Amino acid sequence: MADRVVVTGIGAVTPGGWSVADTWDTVVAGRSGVRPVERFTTFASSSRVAGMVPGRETGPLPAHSLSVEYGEHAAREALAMAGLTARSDVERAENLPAPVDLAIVANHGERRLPTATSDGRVIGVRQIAARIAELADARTSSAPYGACAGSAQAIGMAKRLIEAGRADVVLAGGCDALVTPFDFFSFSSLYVMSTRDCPPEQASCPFDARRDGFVLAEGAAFLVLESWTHAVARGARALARLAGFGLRQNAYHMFAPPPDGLGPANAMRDALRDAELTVTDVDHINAHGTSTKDNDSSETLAIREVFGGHADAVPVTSNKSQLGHTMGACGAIEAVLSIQSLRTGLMPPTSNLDQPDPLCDLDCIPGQAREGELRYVLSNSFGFGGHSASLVLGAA
Amino acid sequence: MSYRVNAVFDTATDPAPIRDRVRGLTSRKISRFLDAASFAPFLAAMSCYRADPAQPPEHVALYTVGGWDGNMPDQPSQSDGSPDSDALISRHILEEANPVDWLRMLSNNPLCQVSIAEGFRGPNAHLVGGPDALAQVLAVAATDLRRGAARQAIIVAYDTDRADRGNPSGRAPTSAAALSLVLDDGENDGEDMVSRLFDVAEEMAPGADSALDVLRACLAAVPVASGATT
Repeated sequence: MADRVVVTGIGAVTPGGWSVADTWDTVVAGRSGVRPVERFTTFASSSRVAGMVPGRETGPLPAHSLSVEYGEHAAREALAMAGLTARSDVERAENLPAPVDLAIVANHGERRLPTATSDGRVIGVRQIAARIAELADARTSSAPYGACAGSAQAIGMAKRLIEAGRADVVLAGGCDALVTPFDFFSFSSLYVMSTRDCPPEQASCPFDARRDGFVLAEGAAFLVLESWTHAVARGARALARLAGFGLRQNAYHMFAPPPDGLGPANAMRDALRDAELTVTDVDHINAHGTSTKDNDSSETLAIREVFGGHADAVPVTSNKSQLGHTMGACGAIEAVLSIQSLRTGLMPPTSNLDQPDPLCDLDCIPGQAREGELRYVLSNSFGFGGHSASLVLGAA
Repeated sequence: MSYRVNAVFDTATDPAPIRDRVRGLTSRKISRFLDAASFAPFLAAMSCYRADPAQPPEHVALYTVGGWDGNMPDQPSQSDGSPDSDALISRHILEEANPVDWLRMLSNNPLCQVSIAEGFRGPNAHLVGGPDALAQVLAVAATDLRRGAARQAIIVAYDTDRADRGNPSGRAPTSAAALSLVLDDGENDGEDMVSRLFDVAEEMAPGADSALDVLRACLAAVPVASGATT
């Protein structure tokens, strides 16, 4: 029987702050990290707001990689919480085992606009993963390219590799900083971002009838995942258990969610099957909830399909209502916040849910955070390319 | 239980121009999303499955791994660093550029397009990675099969010449290889091919240039159960 997989460290950098604690306080209070974009010129026909990490919201884009800056900061927090430190030069020379077997780092690289002396690339996907792996003193790295499901894929792959006995400790998550002209306006050209005329903090309104697109955001989050046996042997404290993982392909469209919710529903079913749980074991859902018309109705349909009559009894939240959509980092950020829900018994609200859409008729926690006894939280992440990923996290 | 390799495919063995092969196999709705970077992995995944459609496509897992990490499409002008110059290019991206050019740049595009074309609805992921990454997707695919999350797994590795690895998708012609993995129910228990694949992958990875090189070494080392080599 496969060893169970536990989480022993978490770290996050988000528009809510430079740590898990700051991010958690932000979403629980329903505060917004969405600001007007000042880094570059925006247009009347484009989105004009974004979720920005505090201290990085003003001034022009820096020359260095923000993805790496956020990623390294979040990875450091997770590794410190797990009690893992890089080997010294002496320990390396003595060939002592690396503290982390593998770093799985979802990201999409980072670009500026091309100039006479540069093709615009700041750093590539593999290089970002290698930088995080180097920080963690991991033996090797890889980089899932799964769009908004990427870091949920990373976490799920870590689970599979630990269960298969091919790794004991994996640092998994993602980092993305796509509030740059190329990526911002490319997304805008697909009409998937909010252009609503409203205060920035109200632009992301998942499950609300007024929603008109997502708010692009930046951030990073990492989890230290390890086998229960390994964690116990080194005296590490488990924060939570990664009980289940489901991953499916929609095979429908490059970026539109399936109107029947089939891929997301199958991912949720597989995650529950993997965890050997039934829907009544799930006390809370951390939704993908992007604030696009199609995602939120499709996700609602999928949740109703899977949870049946129990769907009305499960409170659902979208952290994107406060943080915006952090792309390759969102799955890991929302997994971290799901773990915080398990640890504190608090479910963050879905902000800006003032006019509930009849097509999104779940209990989406409008207004204020809610208390509850939480055994398992299901976290959904769906991405461009048709990826649907679900994680089931359980109390330690 | 043991794992079998039921089919393999390598674009290197196919003399026909890859672009023509792909365009002959799929509709315009799909092919318009494909270009130099994605023709080979698309063809490899599709050909491997069609050589051995052992299970319905909704139960097929697809994992792709490649070293190509494409940059943004070529832009009509360069920025001089001023806000006005940046705004000129930004407005082009927003209002004039074809969004399909951007979608082609996404490294998971081949996986997505072949999944739509063939109806693959199982577990799936694309890794941007080097030689080590092949063993990772082999392990994950094998676990999917053992746990029943998929009944068949297609694993594709693809890459471009080293000099083209950072190029936009239209200027990064790739080669690809693929294998199809299934789990025996125990009645025909033979040698477990996943163990042999891991042995080869781990032996080859340290000296290899790409996951594609490692997969090709694997294909040379394992017998194909159905003889479906294309």
